[in-house]
Amino acid sequence: MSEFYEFYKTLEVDNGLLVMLMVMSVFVAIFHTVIIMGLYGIDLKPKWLFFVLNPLLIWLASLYDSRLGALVAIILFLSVFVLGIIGMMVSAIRSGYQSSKDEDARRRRMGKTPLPVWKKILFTSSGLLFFGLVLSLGVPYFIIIVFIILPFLTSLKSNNKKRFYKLQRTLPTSNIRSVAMGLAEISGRSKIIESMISRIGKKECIGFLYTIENVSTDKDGKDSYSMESSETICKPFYVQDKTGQIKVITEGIEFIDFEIDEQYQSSMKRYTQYLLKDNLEVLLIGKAGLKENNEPVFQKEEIKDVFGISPVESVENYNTLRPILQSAGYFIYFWVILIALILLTPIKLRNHTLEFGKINLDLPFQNSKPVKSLDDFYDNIYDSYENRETDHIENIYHQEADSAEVTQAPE
Amino acid sequence: MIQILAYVILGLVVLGLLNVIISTYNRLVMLRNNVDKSFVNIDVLLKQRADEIPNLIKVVKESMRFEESMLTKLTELRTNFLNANSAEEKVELSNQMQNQLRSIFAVAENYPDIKSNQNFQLLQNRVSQIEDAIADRREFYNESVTMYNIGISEFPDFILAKLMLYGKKQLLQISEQEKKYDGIAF
Repeated sequence: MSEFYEFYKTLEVDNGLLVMLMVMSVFVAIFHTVIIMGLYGIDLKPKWLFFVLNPLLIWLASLYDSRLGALVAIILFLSVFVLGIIGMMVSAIRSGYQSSKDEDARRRRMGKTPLPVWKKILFTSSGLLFFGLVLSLGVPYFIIIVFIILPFLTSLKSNNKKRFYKLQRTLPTSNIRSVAMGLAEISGRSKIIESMISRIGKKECIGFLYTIENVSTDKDGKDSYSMESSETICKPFYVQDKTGQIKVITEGIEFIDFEIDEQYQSSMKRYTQYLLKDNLEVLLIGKAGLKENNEPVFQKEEIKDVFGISPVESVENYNTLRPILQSAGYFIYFWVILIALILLTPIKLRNHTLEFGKINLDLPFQNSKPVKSLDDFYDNIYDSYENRETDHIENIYHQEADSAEVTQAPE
Repeated sequence: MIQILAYVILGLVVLGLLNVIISTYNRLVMLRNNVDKSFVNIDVLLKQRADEIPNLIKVVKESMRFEESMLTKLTELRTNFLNANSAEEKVELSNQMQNQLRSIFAVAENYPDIKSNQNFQLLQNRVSQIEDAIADRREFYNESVTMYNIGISEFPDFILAKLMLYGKKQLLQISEQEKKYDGIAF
């Protein structure tokens, strides 16, 4: 603190520097605006508030003391990071709360009781603890865990769509007149029982999927989208094939890979509609069962937690693409292993020659010092391993130097 | 730091590989169970058809006194079917029952009082529907077997299938007797 005060006392801020700081604060205002509106969900009125407020604060502070103006500029710059981190936490808490409400609604629909409050608190606390632990390891580990490991683990997680396509590859398609009770796949044309009106365009349909996405534009003018809400409303309908028809109870159904019916963008939001129309050739995976009056029906399979409907054309396209994607996957695996082996091999450029050391398969933290405090723990992560790696490479080249022949320099 | 990154990458590759192996194992198990389930589901319909026989005999017995031997044979076949243990025996008996039922329905055409009997018509429709469903289930069984055979032969799944000792299964064959067409007798 005293060093900062000494630095502050020696600071010299002229008018030119002050103007430059005010201009830079206008750029910082972009981040302030995006963070406040995007992460905190506050609708700024007027939207140009920070663009005026930031330079104004610097100017007002400089009227008292020009060095104070520079200090305000530094504080405004740092506030972006603080507001950003707090904003991410606020956004995470808000989305967590919304997910909790959606989960409670889903459980009520399934006839289950919502999660008790103590469990919700436990999950939230565990999540915060994990986040705090990861953050405490430092930026490089934070980046590896949050941007590489967690997304990879998330990609392995199953969802209804993945289960739908997985089962579609495994289950043969049943004829409707002879579909066995239990998990089944059927295909046929959709037949309307009672129509409904869609959100966009007021079109007659059996059901629709309506999504709202938030639009954000980067500095290159490219739009990116994040899902805000998604709603599927579908009336019961029949699926008919050449052997018969069966009623579909649409509770819990998911529309998978339907063609976009209507889409438009307005006020930083994109609205999209997918329609299930009459006489559309569709494929469904779910459970064939019997209603109270022994009427066969098709509904959600609760044990496998799967119930999806997709146009037959989309399923065929997916099956055509899948082998190509699988081959790409094997290709990527091979190269990722190769990259890992390259990273494990010490390489040095000497005398215009690339020299490779032995692949180092020793586990990290071999020469760590005993951990008696948290500082020792962090030192081990950052210090000892780098030192050992450098020593290892130097040893290789010292050995080579020892074994080299001594030659006389030409006269 | 770089070495830790390399280990993280290798760790993720191993995790991904484990995920692929587990998915493949589960898929092969599901394919095999689909085959077993679809075979048993044929059996369910065969039993359903066999259960219609006492009702049919009750309806036609009085009028078809002269065809008593046919009705007796059908009853015997049904009893043997219900007591059969092996799948091959069941299939053979089921085929014989089917032929016998067809014969009775054909002969019933000569008895106007039976033909016009509402119960008989209902039973005839019911048996016909069950036979259509049996045909569908046989087709479904063959499709399940084909998907299973393909699943255990594809690369690289066949490696795991060999370790799990999964072998190819046979499709349902139609017997010569079933394929034989004697023409329509008037």
